[in-house]
Amino acid sequence: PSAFLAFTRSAFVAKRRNYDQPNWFGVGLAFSTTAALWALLFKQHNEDIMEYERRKQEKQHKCTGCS
Amino acid sequence: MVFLPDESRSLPPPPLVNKGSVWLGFTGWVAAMLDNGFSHRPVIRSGVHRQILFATMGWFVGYYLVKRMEYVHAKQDRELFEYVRQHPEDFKAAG
Repeated sequence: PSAFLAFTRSAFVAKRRNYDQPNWFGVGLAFSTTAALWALLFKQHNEDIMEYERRKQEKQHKCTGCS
Repeated sequence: MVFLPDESRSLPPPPLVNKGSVWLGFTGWVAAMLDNGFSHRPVIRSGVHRQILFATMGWFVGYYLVKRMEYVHAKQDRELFEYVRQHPEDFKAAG
């Protein structure tokens, strides 16, 4: 099969998908990517909160002075 | 052009459950179900791992988009109030 036919899906090159066996590699990849994305998101969110609180404290010290 | 300038971190971050995340997460889920439909697979029962992944990707992107949106709105508010402060004669209360 020619490489140029990669972007055309003619019946000469396309094959019918077989769903008898699960694509375990794809499933594993999808779930691990999902877990990684959620972990990254939680990490980012917690860092955002900490940075916001830190800057709030900093601003208070600057304006009101240390008591 | 920076997506999130440093001063945006002085704003309170959006909650993990926010409008952008919910909507884009839902959009991702629908995209996975559309893919099922176009590929002649059962729409809901098939490719659950794909539905979860697409929904997660939408949720993830939604969080960052909402952060940028809140920053842009806060910046506009700051510039607006600064202008009003500098031109009090144009903003006298009706009287």
